[in-house]
Amino acid sequence: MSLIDFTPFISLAVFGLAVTPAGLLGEGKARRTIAPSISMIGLFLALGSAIWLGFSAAQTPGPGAIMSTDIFTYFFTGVLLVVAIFVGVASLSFMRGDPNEAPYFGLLILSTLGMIVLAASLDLILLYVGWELMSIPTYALTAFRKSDPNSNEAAMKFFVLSALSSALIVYAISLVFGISGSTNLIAIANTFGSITPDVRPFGVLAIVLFIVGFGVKMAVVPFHMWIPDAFEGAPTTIGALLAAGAKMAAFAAAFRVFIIAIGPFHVEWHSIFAIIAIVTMTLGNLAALMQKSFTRLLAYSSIAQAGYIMIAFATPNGQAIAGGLFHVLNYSILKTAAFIAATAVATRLSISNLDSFNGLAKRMPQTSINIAVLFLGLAGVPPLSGFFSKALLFAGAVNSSLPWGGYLAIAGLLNSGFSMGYYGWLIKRMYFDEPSDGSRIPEPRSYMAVLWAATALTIIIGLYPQPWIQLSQDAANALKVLGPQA
Amino acid sequence: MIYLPWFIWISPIVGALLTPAFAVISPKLRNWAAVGFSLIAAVAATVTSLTVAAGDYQVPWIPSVSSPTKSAITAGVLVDPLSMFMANIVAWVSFLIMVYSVEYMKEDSGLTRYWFFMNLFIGNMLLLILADNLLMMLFGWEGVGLCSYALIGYWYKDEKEHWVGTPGDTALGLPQAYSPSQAGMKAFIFTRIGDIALMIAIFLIYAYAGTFNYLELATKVAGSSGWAAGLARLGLLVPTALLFFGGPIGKSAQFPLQEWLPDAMAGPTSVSALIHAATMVKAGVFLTGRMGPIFYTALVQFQQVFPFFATIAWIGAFTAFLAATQATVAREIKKVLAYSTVSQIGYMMLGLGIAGLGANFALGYTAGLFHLMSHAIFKASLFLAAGWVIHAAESRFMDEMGGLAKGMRLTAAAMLLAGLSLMGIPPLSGFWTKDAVLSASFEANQYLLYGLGIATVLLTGFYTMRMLGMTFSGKPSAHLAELEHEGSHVHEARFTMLLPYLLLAVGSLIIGIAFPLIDPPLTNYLEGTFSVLRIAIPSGAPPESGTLSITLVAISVAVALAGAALGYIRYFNKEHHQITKPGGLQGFLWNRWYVNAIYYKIFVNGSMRVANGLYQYVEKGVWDPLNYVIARNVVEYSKASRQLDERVVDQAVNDVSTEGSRLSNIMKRFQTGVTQQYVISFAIGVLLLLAYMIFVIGAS
Repeated sequence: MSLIDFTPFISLAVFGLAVTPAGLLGEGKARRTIAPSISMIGLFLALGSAIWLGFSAAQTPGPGAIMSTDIFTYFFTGVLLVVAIFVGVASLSFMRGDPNEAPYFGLLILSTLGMIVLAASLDLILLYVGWELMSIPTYALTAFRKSDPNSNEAAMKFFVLSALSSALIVYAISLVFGISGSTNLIAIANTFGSITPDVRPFGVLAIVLFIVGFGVKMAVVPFHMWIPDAFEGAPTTIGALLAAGAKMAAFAAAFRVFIIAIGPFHVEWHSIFAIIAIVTMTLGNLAALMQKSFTRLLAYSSIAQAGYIMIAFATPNGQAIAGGLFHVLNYSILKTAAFIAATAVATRLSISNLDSFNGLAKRMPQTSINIAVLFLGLAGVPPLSGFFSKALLFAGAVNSSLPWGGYLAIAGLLNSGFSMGYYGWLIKRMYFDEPSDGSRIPEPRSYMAVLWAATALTIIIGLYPQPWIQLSQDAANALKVLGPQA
Repeated sequence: MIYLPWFIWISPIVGALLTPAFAVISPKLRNWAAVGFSLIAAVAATVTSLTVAAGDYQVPWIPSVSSPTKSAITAGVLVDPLSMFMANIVAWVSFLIMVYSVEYMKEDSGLTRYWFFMNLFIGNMLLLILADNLLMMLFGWEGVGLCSYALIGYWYKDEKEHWVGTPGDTALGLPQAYSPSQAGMKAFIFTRIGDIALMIAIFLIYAYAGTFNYLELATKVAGSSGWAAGLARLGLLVPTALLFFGGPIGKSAQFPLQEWLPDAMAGPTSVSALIHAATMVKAGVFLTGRMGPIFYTALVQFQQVFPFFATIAWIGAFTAFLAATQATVAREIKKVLAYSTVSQIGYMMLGLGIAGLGANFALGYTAGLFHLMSHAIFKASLFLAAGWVIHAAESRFMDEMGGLAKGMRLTAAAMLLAGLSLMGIPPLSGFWTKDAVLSASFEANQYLLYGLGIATVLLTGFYTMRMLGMTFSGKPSAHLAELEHEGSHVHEARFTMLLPYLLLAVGSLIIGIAFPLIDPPLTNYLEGTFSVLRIAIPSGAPPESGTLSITLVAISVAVALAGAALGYIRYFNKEHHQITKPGGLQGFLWNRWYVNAIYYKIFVNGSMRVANGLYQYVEKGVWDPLNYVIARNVVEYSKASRQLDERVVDQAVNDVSTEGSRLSNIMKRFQTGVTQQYVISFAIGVLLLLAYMIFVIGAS
């Protein structure tokens, strides 16, 4: 293991710290372009190195390692960096002319660094550092529109709940340390297999606190309530970062903790995830159907999607975990792009009113076709990417030896069908309803670049899923190999 | 030549994708190029069936899922008698309808969209037929559903003239007329219900068989280590087969999911002919035919054949009867044809169901598929002709037509020929194939099913004559007289429109006349499907006794003629009065046995209410009040402390008061309850999780 293996992390740290001061340099036009370009270089460098390292230098970490450079790490690093790049590119338009552009990009990159550290960490202390590094910049980013009361209110709610979740995670970490005498996930796994009855209740408490702590960021019911408010109040690009980036990073942490460390704990804790998964997907879909605002609709649909991924925890076999990871990949692309589409619409129309989407196909043809494809992808209509990841997930659940596997798959299928109700309805609004005002709305190039890239990926992954499934399986294996060898 | 089979379904899809590009060059090129691509598909289908050996033409697709129990997923085209039989029917009928469309749709705007979806539909339909595995089949299956949705709602501006149903008509207080976009949505949702069942079944089969491929499914089905045994051990074999059949029920508009098809008539008539008569609605029959022999082999090992095939047969026979009764009172010509389509598909399902109930599987099987072929031909002809009739009469209601035969002899002749075929009058093709289904059910000793089928024959004769009589005979209606007065005469269709439906009607006649000659070789050909699947199917039926078969033929012809005579007496050469909503039994039929209205009451209104209720009471109701109580106490407390603040501190320190009120404003913001509520919901969540861990799992 050499320093080269950490290129993505180092690159983000260096560029993230450099962006803000660099933004103070130069004058006029140069001053406006310098910060975005530096941050883009940093993000692309990190993504490029992550892909290259993932193919050439991925290795199983040795005992005692606190940071892993296996396929799982690079998989999540890649996904999260794609999200950050999408958000960054869209922000080129979104933040144009804002005097605080440089700090915005700086915070964006530092938060991304926190996410990928979270995905790589094999030690609870490092995990917590990553968690805070991810969270703190997002508070500031959510409140970035200083003069907008909604933005401030959203940030305040988000901050309070997030702080609470951090506190619970710290508590859980301390309990685990008390039981096992270590903060290293692999070491914890070894002691959790042979835990004595007198400390078992503390182990159970730790599991619950971990679920709640991660659950806030993963947005599972009943810890989801801040999500619609925060997504609606935050700048929409940051909504994308929270919905896809922070959320998926929290899933990465949960995969590390639950599959590796808690895996051998002989208390049947998987059923709790089965319940959470079903409740989350059902409530998310039902509430989404009732929404009148586009961002709230996206928020509830993202809650429902989290429910699908939870299946991987409820039936943790190789196939379901691979399906969960594959869905993480697809969801990140689809949801980020959906939020960017909201940003594009929001420049002229009210996204808090779905009526403004009537006849959008005539006013914003590029945006509309992309939203349509992305929504069909989210609904899991073949042959788009979402279909395969859901299929893999549900197949994993069905194949599971656990008794609730079949129910989970059926609940997932029913929910997928049900979700067509609101996805299809919006598509119908865009294509078949008459706009109240037929004028064309400009579609900024940077938004469209992101949307077309996401749509292309959705279709490519859907038509030729083989390499992506292989990648997800490799990542799942890399994760499982660290866990208990049953 | 190995890629030729692939060519069949890919070429229309390429055509669809190129449509926008051609549209930029010239509208004419766009129209004829679209027709051209559908011709390529048709020619490729025929050439393939004549030259390519039966087999599975595969390419790798998703190898990484392979494991000791799962095979790699491959993409492939399965060339076998069944797929070639279907592909040829679908591709050639599609081509003729595309030719018709050029003239029929020429004055419409948005034609690029039309041609795009038409070709995309044909490509997906052929993919569905030719796929060698259930997964690819599902792609085509969903693809045709999407195109169906887009084409039913083609006139998305929902002008009143494109609605379906009598304006202002209600049943159980719910409006029964639908706009095109509503009808499209309805079709999509209805078929999705079946699709979910289908997908569950496919994944269950995959879980036990480890493959989606038809040939592998067929080879791995039997024996104690086969997938059928795996499912049967859990008692899941029959449920899986029935869930699988859910897909065909939705797609082929069978009871209880038949309600979408009559309203799908809101689309252009060419679309109704292509999708909702000749091809897509047959997808369910095809899929049942595709998996039928495999399920039969699976079920026969455990003596569970009866429940599955009896369900198919009963649903088919009941749907045939149900829809035929509704056709006898319909007011719109396209709705008569739509009900009739549902009814005739019921016959096909009856045939496939009978296959598993009789001693000779092949008998019912080929009967069902033959009827599919003859129905595709005569019903496409009827629809296309009806499209011209509606256009010429400028009304979709039959009571606003009448006496049209004088102005359009050839159209009337085509409709008469196709209508006779529908009724089952010899020697037209419909006679032979319908009779084959009925004879098969009689010979399988299913007399009740046979009775339902014969009752349907009577109704079919009646409603077909009613339709022909109201449209073509008698005096022109007031509406037509007015048109005449305005100077627009009823006249014959242009050649490119006339030719397709005339050809189809004559085709039905020729096939009928030649049927005794082509029946044995075609039966042999279709039975080849079983040998490609390498499964043994019981044949060697008791030889048909000559007198019995002649008696059966005589009965069905006599009943058809009786129905036709009733219709003739009642509706030919009569004055037309506007049909108003009837009462009594007719009203019951008019309201489609109230099935549609009840579905809307229960499912549409019900689920809106449940979703709304859950959102209001669970999300906003249960958490909120619970939290509100606590939140209010916090607010009260903070008020009290603020009063203390104002009275004691403020008076003492006046200077701080401005700062203080600013601070309290900030405090108020997050004491309004919302944030606390969230935190409290959190706490409740933690307690619930702990309680679950302790009491349910018993972890303490």
